[in-house]
Amino acid sequence: MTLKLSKTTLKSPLVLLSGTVSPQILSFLRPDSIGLVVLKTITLKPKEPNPEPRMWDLGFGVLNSIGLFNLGVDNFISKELPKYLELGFDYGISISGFSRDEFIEVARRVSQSVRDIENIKALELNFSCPNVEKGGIQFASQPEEINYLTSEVTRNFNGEVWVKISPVYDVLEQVNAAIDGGATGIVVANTFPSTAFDRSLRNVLGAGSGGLSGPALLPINLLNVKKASSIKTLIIASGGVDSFHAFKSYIAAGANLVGIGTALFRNPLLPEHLIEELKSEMKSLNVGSFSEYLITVRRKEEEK
Amino acid sequence: MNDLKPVLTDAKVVKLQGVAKGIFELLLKPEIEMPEPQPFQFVSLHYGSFQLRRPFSVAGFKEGLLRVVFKIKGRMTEELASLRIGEKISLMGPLGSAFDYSKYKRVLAVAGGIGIAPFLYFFSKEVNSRDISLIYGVKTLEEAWYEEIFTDLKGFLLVTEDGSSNYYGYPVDYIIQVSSYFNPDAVVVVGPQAMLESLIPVTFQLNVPFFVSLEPYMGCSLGACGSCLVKLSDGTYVKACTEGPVFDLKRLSMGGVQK
Repeated sequence: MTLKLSKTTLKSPLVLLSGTVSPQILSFLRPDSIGLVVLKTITLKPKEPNPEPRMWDLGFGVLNSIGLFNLGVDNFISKELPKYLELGFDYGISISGFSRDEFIEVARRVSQSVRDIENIKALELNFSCPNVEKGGIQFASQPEEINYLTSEVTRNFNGEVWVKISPVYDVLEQVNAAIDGGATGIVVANTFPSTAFDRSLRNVLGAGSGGLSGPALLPINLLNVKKASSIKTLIIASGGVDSFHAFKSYIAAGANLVGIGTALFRNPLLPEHLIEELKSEMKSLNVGSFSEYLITVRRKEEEK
Repeated sequence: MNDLKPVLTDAKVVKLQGVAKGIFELLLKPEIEMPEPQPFQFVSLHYGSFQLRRPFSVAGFKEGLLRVVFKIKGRMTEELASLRIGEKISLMGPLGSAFDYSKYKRVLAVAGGIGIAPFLYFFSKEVNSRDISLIYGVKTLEEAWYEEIFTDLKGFLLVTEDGSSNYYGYPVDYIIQVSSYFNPDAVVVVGPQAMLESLIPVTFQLNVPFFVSLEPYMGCSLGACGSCLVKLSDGTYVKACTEGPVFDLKRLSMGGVQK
């Protein structure tokens, strides 16, 4: 089931989302079932995690505040990336920074090191990071920063450059800024900033707030995908996919690829199940390619 | 990391019974055969309307049946306690790294509350191959339960916070005293965070390695989510779910064991 994108080809429409994979999770999966595995966001320097607790199960969704914990770009390239490359999947590398210079430097080091690695197909730009030069507001809230940084990154990287937008700020502003900067795909969207209290009314997260993922995010990002799809671009839907119905809903709303994240924690085999269902549905609809399937599903959606 | 790939399977409830106040014993029969866990490894269970699995120590494994003992702590464990015989839940395991205790011949086991769970499996596997003594602490006598295997141990001390047993206080308070005649070559401690923190002064008085089993919130138990990161004494972080749950206390930064 190959999918041709503007700069590369993927083996499947399923994308494993940043921050939700490990070699152990990948050990449950076949490389042919996964289009792209987006690895955990890296920054220039190592970043300490947020205080515990860093995750909380709300039942209808999951709150997390890991705090961009990572080993820094150099350690990532020399120590972590080789372990993933051994496993035979295709990868995207998610990057972020706390300033323009940091962002560009991370992109430069990654682009340089992965130039000849065939299995690295994409960079994902995570703009849900505070910009310390602008008083700590998120890059995602500043379309001019999205635009500037995306164009800087695309100048040095030949593969796909996907921008992960925030569900909080104006979708079209973010998408336009990214595409104008040369982005080849938009990940719609990141987790939703939120908080919760336990039975004794204590904050459930050590950091006081975090990002909401899981089924609670599905209706929010379904609408965001719909909004983003008014602009012609590759859309990678993200948020709350734990069933084939959720997968198909995103396709109907205008997504080209569908991300799986939090649901992997409960069921690392989910992508295999989704691919099986997709294949059998494509067979029953008598469509030969995924692009034909997209058209069929969307036509059905329009007819309703 | 455990060399054996964990299985992900449905498992049938074969037995569920209350064994002490708020404490339940659950026997599960996995539909796909599970590799034999090592003592102190764990499994993760999923049941009901939750997004995430929950980790549970392996309290026993015999003839393909997995034994879990758990304490009611929140909604998930409340729902687990209301399972019916024959119902199915999702099981993944074994998880975590095996703890290599092979060179220790005289082990002092220190359990706080439900921290007794992994020791039950450890005792069943090791009671004939090494000398083991147990200090088991609970809030009150009603929360303790007695297993026949305790009689095969070299020593057994039941400590209660309310003095309802003969020994009053916390299990950590008795480590020095018991060690003076048992002479352990390793101390293994499983219990709540506060108990692990109270252990630090004791380690200065006793010149043997201390091992602790950590139980931070684990979102995935497969090294992906980052919720269970633990700080080491060299300032780096490891994931308790894949590198642990058992750590040599010396390897951990004090910040790592503190909330």
